[in-house]
Amino acid sequence: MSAPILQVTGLAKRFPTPGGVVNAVNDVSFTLSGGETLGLVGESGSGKSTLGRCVLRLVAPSAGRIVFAGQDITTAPESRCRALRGSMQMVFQDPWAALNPRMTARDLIEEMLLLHTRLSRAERRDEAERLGLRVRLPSAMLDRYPGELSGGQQQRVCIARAIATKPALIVLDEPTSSLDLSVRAGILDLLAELKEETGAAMLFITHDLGTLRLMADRVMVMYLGRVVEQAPAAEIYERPAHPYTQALMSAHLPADPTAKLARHVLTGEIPSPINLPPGCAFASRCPVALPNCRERATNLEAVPGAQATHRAACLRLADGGNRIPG
Amino acid sequence: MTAPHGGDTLTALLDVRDLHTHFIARDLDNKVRTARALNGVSFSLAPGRILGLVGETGAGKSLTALSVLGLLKPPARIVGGQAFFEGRDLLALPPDELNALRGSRIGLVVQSPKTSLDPLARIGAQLVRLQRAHRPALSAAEAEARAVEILASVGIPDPQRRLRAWPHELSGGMAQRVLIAMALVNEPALLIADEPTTGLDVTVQAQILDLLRAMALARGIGAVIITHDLGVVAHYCDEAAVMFAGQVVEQGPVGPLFARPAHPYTRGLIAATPERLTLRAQRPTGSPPNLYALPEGCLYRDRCPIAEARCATPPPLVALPEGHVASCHFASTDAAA
Repeated sequence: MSAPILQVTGLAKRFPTPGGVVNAVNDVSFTLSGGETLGLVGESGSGKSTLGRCVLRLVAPSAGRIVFAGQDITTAPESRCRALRGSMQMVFQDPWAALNPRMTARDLIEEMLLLHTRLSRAERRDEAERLGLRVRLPSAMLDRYPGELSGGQQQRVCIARAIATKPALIVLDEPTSSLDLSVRAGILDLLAELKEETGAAMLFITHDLGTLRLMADRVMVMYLGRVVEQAPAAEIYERPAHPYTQALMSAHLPADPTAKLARHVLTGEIPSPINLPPGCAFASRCPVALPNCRERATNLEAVPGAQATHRAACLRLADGGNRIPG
Repeated sequence: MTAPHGGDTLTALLDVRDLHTHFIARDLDNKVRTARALNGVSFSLAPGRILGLVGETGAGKSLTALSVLGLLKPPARIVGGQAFFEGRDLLALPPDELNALRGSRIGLVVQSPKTSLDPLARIGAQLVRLQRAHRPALSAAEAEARAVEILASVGIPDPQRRLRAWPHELSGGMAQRVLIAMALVNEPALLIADEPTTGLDVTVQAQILDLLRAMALARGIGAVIITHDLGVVAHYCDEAAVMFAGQVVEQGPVGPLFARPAHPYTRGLIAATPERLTLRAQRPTGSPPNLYALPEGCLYRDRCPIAEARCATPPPLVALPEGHVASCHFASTDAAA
């Protein structure tokens, strides 16, 4: 781990809609160092994808500060962002939608080199070949169009594109969610190898806690636009502190019929992101909420008796009532 | 794989035998091309049991359901097999008799709740329509009362008011509950749920699966849950049938099947689940076989880590202890080891 490559402070993103302002991301702060993988987990609507896009300035944040490699890029003009995107890359959930169907895999990889490097044509061709091999796409496969590749092979093309420019930061937004189990395993292998080889910082966005356990060094849990808990990966799986994290963990179904499930089934409705309650957004579904949870805002605080880097936003941390019984 | 699986038509609620479905179409050159999508699917389901039909994309899980329910569209065509439901072969029934069964004795829950509800009808109207289609004598008031009851039983708050709701006003989880209510409203004996929780959040998934299981158990319904999620199979199903390339390669009670998977494909699938996965291990690679040119013998042999010469002949269906069967030349020796 080296100096932080990414520092995000108080980041917020609000989308105006006819029905009101949607608070997609609310006051999120974190840092990410080279070689480190931060897992970002949450359910649909938690703001995890929006956060990932804000970090790369694919959408402009409404408030807060993003410092990438020592430079404040929060309000950098689009031209500067474009120049920077060689060193910050993204892999999307649906590779089919991310690839131009009228370009071959080889051209798609070369395109990145054309845009972001000064390599000659011959050098680009060699480099694309090398990148193809690196993501285990043999040369013959590179002459195919995306429609002639399987989902897993398409995702390999996307990964080759993402690493082509040797980025310092890669945002992976559900990179394996659309893939079958056996294909997923191969992609996760590849990402783990690349993490070690390239030393790039990774922001790994997913709703799958099982995958995250394999990939992440640290985990950040989001609920309705806010970070409710962050901790080293091993710590959060052993001792989830926020009731939402506990419920999320307990809803994960391990593929083992003998595994005991600690089931915390949630009831209650998810509040609208347009009218967020003044207090904890999870209070309406929380089994251990007290009346004032709905009123008082929460901040990330150190979890008593845990590692200093384990922080959660729950009023009940103070009285120890944050643990869901059962 | 022509031998039927263990079940027999007298005790099984649903007994699918050697089902073959092909996609038969003329190509640009006017030559007939046949994609052999289902290649002898056999499985059986006892009343009151939940069977997980599991496999990867393209294995033929949904196609099996559509074939059994008579919902195929050209160029897909059933070219062989039987599917006995309550002793009658669904594949040989005339359309009006099949219509009478679907939505009444057999309920279907599909993957995308939002596209399966009629967007131009309120929830209540859809539930009433469904009941009166099968029981014309039922009055509108009776049907509506029953709709309220079934909505309440699938955990929809304030069901009386929800009758007036439009499909677009429902969240994904709520829409899926409504679909389950629709599948159950006519008291079916068999429920087929095709990826009932794919696309839902995990905390909502748990609620829907709890509900499905509770409803099936309380009513003695036999259910088939189609899924690619082995976690769902492990915790919500009594039995599992594993599909590969249009065949059930292994079926058995969930306990023995996960503890002692007998088919190498099942073993690979279980090893690839996040809990068991070790990154950067040797793993079998390769793509599913080309359905236009299927090899003779075992369809898995090109990807199989233990394939031998004899795998070029069709694998036997090997009966293992505890009602567990696998279709592999190595099944008996390997399961014992």
